[in-house]
Amino acid sequence: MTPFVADVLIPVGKVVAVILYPMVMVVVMIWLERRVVALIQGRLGPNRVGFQGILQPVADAIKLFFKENIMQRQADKLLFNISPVLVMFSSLLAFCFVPLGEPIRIGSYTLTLWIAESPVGLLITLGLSSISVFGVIFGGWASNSKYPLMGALRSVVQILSYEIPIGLTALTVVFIARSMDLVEIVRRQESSGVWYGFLMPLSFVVFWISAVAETNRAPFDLPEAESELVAGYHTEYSGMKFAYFYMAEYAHMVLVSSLVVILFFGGWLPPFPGVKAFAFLHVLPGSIWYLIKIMFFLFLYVWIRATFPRYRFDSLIRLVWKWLIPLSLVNFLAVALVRYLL
Amino acid sequence: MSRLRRFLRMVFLLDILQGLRVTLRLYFSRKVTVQYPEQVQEPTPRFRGILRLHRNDQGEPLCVACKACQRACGTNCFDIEGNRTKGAKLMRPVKFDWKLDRCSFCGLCVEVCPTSAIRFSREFRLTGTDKEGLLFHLSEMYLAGESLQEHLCAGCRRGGG
Amino acid sequence: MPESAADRPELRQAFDALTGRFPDGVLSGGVEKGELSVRVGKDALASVLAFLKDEQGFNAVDDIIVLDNIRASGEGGKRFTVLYQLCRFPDFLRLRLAVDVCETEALDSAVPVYRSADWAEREAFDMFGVRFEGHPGLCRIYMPDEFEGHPLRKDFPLGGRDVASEAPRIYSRESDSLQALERQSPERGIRHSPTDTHPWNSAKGIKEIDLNMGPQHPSTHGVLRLKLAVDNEVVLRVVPVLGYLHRGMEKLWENLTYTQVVPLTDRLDYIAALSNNLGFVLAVETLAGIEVPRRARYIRVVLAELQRLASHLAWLGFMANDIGAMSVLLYSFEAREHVLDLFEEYCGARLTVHGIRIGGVPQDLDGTLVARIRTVLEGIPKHLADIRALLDENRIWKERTVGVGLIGAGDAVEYGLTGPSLRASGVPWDIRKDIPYSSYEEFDFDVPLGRNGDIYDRYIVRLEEIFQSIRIVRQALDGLPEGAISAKVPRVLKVPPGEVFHTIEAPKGVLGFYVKSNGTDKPERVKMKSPSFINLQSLEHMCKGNLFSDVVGILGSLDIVLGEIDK
Repeated sequence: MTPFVADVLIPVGKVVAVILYPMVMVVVMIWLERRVVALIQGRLGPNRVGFQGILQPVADAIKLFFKENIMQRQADKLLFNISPVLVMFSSLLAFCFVPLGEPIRIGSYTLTLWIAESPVGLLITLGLSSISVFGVIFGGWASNSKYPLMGALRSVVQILSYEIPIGLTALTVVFIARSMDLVEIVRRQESSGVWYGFLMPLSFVVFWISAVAETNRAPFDLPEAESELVAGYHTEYSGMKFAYFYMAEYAHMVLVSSLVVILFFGGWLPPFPGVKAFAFLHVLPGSIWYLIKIMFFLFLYVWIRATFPRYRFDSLIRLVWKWLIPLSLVNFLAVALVRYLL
Repeated sequence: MSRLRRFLRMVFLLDILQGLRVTLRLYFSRKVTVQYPEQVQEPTPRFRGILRLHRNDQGEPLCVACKACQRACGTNCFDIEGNRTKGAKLMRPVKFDWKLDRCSFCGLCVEVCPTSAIRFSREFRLTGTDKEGLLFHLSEMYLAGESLQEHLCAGCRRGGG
Repeated sequence: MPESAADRPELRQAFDALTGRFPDGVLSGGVEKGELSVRVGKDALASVLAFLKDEQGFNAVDDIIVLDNIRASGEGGKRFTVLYQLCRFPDFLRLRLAVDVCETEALDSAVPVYRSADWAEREAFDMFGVRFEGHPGLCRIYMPDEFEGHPLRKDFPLGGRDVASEAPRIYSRESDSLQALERQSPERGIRHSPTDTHPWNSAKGIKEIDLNMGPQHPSTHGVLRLKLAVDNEVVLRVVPVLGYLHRGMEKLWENLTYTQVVPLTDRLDYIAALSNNLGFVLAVETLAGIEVPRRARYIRVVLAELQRLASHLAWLGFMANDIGAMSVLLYSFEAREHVLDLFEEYCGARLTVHGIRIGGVPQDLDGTLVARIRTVLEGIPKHLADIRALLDENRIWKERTVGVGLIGAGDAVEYGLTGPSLRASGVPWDIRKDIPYSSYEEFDFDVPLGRNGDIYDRYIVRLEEIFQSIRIVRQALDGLPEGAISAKVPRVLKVPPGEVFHTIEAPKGVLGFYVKSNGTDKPERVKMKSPSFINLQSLEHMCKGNLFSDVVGILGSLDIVLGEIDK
């Protein structure tokens, strides 16, 4: 292993992989969403472009690429152009500390599938993903139109409010695992033999609901729903800039799914990691299990979207402040108490 | 429902899970989509497709130019003229102009025709590229199938397409 | 039909009370074909209306119809006859007031007495030029504000007149806000309340924002434009702007024979086309005295109830989609497809069916068709069970619908609301039960009632009505009598002179047709009282105080269709 390979090639390769991974998942998500929603609704969805419609995202991308790039005369040029970039940037940057799978052993060298590992990895990830709020605000403000501004403000309030239960429930996991390091959390689930999702189901449920709300997905997608009055912060965007917002939302969904899997569902561990009888499940490499679990949560996102009506904005805010936050606080105290007693 | 049941239902998100179960079941159900144009659902026998004139078994046209359809029509689609040649028993149409773009497919003309000369067909593929294709003269009122499509798309055939 | 054709003693009573009170005001009157018509003088109109409302209990104005007597005005009479069609609930007395007025005179507005007369008077002004004094904002309703002339007058040409139009200035340099546009032409159809002269009423501390839900919008069920004034999120005013789908149907009908009018009525409420056919055909048959055979009446009931089913399924899908549950739209439309296939088998068309003729029905229901109908009816409850499992108990659905868009029973009757929206407020008014037509009295069915009058109640009432419709169709199919499917009607139908106002319970509410004939084969005047038109007036009342995200849901729950509103 030459120093060149170890110090230059591998890190650069990891960076490229970490950028490509959410992008590929986004492309898969575009297809998955339209197909699954269609099948739930009793129709077929895209099935003309490529086998079973698998090239539909390519068709969408080409269409958006060729659309006219409209910008208003009074729009603030810098902020208008920078906000899609900001949102995408924050989603991608947060993948730095997120592992993409089990470390691979090549000969004597262990290839770690993450760019970096940090004792406070979870904290940094959550912080970096919050930068997207700036993108939303800039987008709404720069459009210089009252409807996108109102939509952007609502989005921001929603995102910020729902960050609190996310933080509190993630903290319960940290409490049990005694570490904020994402890799360490997975390893602790391996050693304790049970996924934290089954140990603390309330934490998982609250985390999941808050995650769906934070990514502005149904049933919490009022700020960007088509049939409502105000179409949200990306009303005035068209073409590639709109595509950026669109892809950034999906990338954020992938990030959140990865976090859920790592924190509550054992990351790259197969089910029943400690039990000898299920050792045959190790035949599938951990990265495949990881992928399966992430795909399940992405499917869950789409499934929920196709099923439920939308929350009105005040119900949304009431839900988080009156129910989810007190619930997560109580949950945290309960976990702390149990940990202290045992 | 008792208060306890309602409380448990709310806490354990049972109404949410019930909805998810319904959509999951429908996810796996058979889809009724008919993939047009590869699969075509044939219309019912009484379907109101485009109006066509008909001939009897001997090949003689049934229309006797009585203009009952012209009088019955509420949207002025018809322009009919007929005459009786010397020695013939019945009148025959000399001019029978029918406008597809005015027809509301109500069926009043079909009901009043004494000889059942004009009837609905089951042709529903009525798109074309040429506005002139929407006007049917006497001979074109008998067209069906492929020749009907050619008439409607007459514009594409011009210029050697 | 038997009941409405008989002379009822209450009609006599009402007439005597009226003549007793206003001996000079009442010019003539009489009871004919089960309807009471009274002619009053112009000056007595306001007091007669007040008397009828307060002391005789006539709750609502069904419709205001204007007749253009152009020949009479040439001979020295008054040009216009304005008819007020009043109705008394709960004993279903119908009263028609006639007032003659000439072009230069103005009538007293009925709006201070009957709130539901608001838009009907605007329509009369728009179409004929009859002015109403005391109306809170008399302006055109269908035609653009700059339009000159009054289209339904007999001297207005059928093909219209060429009008030089200038391109509207949508964007102005000074300010691109809606307020600037309003200031340019203050009579643009929005009625500011007397207290605020400027939309940004900072003196009151309220900052109003004008929002526009344009004619093109995914949730307005057609081309409806809503002008909203909101304070932060709370809705203060809702002003619908109509006329984007106005096709001049009533003018057209005056130039067609009765038989030719029937297929055009399909295009009014295009979601339940056969109900419109039925309404018009029943009015003509009452006027012409045609007796429809019993088998035809039963078949009409089957078809009308299937249309009610289809209409409610479409409504369900649209409303759920507006509130966010996208899959319900697809499920309800899958159920609706089966019903539309039935109509295709019966008369050849799915949407604009033209399935009823004057005198009967065009085709018979043979054994195979009856079996098909029964199969479809078996399948519908399964689709509905899925939809109910998704929505009925769902907490998100209940949050968005319970307690939203409330209208009480008294207000509902005041605004002239009819149909399932009225029954959801607890008022048991169903024409099929109260003034039965086409053999409805022979069937056994319930009328679902709500309690609070919110969106959830309207949802439940319509769902239950679907089950009741299935029940009626099964009874009709089981008891289908033998006989002819049509009465003998001459090819060229000449209706003896007279007038009639006939109502039916269409899926959207009480649909009424006023037909006046002059002895020829073409009607003199046909006026349609569309339920969605009157129902839409109560939108503002329901939306006030709610958030503007609810406007979409409330509009959906009212079940309007623009074809009917705009004619």
